[in-house]
Amino acid sequence: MRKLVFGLALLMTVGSGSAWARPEVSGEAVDVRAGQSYELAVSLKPSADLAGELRALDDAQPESFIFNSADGDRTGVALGDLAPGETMAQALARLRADPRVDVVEPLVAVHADFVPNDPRYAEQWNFKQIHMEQAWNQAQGKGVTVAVIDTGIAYEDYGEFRQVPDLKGSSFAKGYNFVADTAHPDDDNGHGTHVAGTIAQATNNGEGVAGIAFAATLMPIKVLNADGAGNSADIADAIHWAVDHGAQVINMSLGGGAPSKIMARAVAYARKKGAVVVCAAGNMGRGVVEYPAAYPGAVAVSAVGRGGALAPYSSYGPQIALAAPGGDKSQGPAGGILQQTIDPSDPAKAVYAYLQGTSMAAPHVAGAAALLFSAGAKTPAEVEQALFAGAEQAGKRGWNDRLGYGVLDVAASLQALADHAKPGPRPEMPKVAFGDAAGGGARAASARLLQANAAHGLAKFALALLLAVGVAASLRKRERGTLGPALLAGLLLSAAGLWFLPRPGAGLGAGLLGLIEIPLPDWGRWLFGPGRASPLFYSALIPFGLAAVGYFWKASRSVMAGVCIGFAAFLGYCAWSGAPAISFMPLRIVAIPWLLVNLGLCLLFGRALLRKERLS
Amino acid sequence: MKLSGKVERVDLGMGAFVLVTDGGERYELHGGDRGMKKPGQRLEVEGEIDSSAVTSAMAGPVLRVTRYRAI
Repeated sequence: MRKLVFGLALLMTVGSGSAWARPEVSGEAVDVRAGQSYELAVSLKPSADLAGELRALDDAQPESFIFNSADGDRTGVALGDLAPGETMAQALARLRADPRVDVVEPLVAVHADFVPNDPRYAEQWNFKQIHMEQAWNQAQGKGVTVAVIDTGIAYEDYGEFRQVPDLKGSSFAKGYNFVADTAHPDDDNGHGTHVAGTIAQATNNGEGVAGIAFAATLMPIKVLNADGAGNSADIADAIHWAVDHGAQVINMSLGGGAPSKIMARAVAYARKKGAVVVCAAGNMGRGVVEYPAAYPGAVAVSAVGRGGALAPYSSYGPQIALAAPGGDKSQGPAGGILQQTIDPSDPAKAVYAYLQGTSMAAPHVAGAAALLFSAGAKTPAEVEQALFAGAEQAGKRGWNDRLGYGVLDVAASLQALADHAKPGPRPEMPKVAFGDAAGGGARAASARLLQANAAHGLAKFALALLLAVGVAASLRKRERGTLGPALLAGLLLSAAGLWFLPRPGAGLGAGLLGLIEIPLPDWGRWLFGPGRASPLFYSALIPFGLAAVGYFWKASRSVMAGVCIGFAAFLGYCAWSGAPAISFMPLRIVAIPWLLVNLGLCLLFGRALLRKERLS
Repeated sequence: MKLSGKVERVDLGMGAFVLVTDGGERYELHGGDRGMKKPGQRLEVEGEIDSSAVTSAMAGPVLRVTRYRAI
């Protein structure tokens, strides 16, 4: 019997995926130099021969100097570089003592925000929301290729197709059309051109609107037909094609409800080859993230409106990495995202269109990723960490399943990248984006199985009600240590979490539900953030406390026994999966014995409770 | 499979036509012809769910319509 109970608990744990049991311990070293050049500004004392004075200064001091401008021999303002190995303080002290120098100070870089001259830029509220004007000062995406896997882009004059005017001057890599199997991925729908515009619309060209990474190179790849539909095989092919042709960022503003192993592998391949894969979460307005966004390795983006709240159409769920402006036209079209695209009824005709959708949110993140690569990020992990750190700083609320780490903040992300070289705590990676298929993927898949059901709402309510009635009944009858509903409830609570519970909107009730929807050992992460788990939560400590309660309070005994055994199953899965991300225990050689010893203790507690129940 | 419900145009991305069934489920309509895509119209639709389909509107499971009838 007990074996059966344990086996069942283990099955549930693995089945529900216990999303947090196996996050990848990502430890890629980050080597980003803070980009300051340690320059000095010097003003020379008045002299008839300022040029001669500067030459003398240059000869006498280890620093090298030049006049700031052609007027230097009249103004006496010069610039200097620090000598190798000396500090700013040393240089300032020595130069202040030099008789030729009137004033010396560190050169202060003064940046005015970059405000593009595109006439309809003022309508792009979304770029203000993510602080593009500060961000453009630091990066424009030069040298980075962004693949837009979509309906194509209006990027060339070919046959009936015309390049839209506000992409003149944007740069393009060779692309491919997987719908027609040609080398001409022109847009016959309008979706892809709009998405591409958000990423790299020609900017500061006095025409139309701006784009986020306007110096980046767009790679047009067509996988969706004129109706905006395509299939998973073409998309898998397209991902491979893009990566093999040099794309460092892939944007996929598309999705479907069914998982495909081929597409999942393609996403994993892209990330392994160094590309950031950005995907729209979906527009179903419910707690299920569409594929490919839900695959491990993809950056799933939900959408917010002007106010920064989740847009009503946006999907959400455990895989959401961050949110970005996707527009919300419920108060009028200007709440949408404005870019240039084509008129779907005449692909040669350009129009400016306000669109809304997670399709519009994803390219904001893809553009930001291109900026981060161009600002010196070397790996997808670095880009993603900077994206999450920037979003998190802006929101200061930690991770949640609606907005992920928060709303994209491009300026803060660039700053986070620059700060990364400094010592201090690093932002954690999202718990599921880099999990294995048995983690987030399976958890999402099991949730999806229920939710794909047409009557999924009813089914969830029925399950929850059944469980509640069962527990109530067994508390009265006090079933003696059998596989009753009370024991089952305890098992579920600790091994898998009550993931099938219906979710109300917001507030304290929803927060508490969020807690019991995840396995009990992971409550620590819910309380303290989704980083590594505390070893005390991944131990027999909680079961010990609950077993004590169950020992003396008869009515709760079956539930507590279930909790202990479920806990053991959870720890067992954690040890078996080989990557227990437990803080202070970086080594498996320490962590796995810890888990196994505590697993044994949990089983002992559970057994003691069941025995006591049978004897009473 | 056979479904009946009301046709709606959802404003997501470039826009999409969906069938909202009497049970409240939403399917993205593909296949069929232009006559099918009239907002407000009630339809009885024959077709299959295409689980390999991926769309830009992401408005629901793709229903490939083979035959439809206004009701």
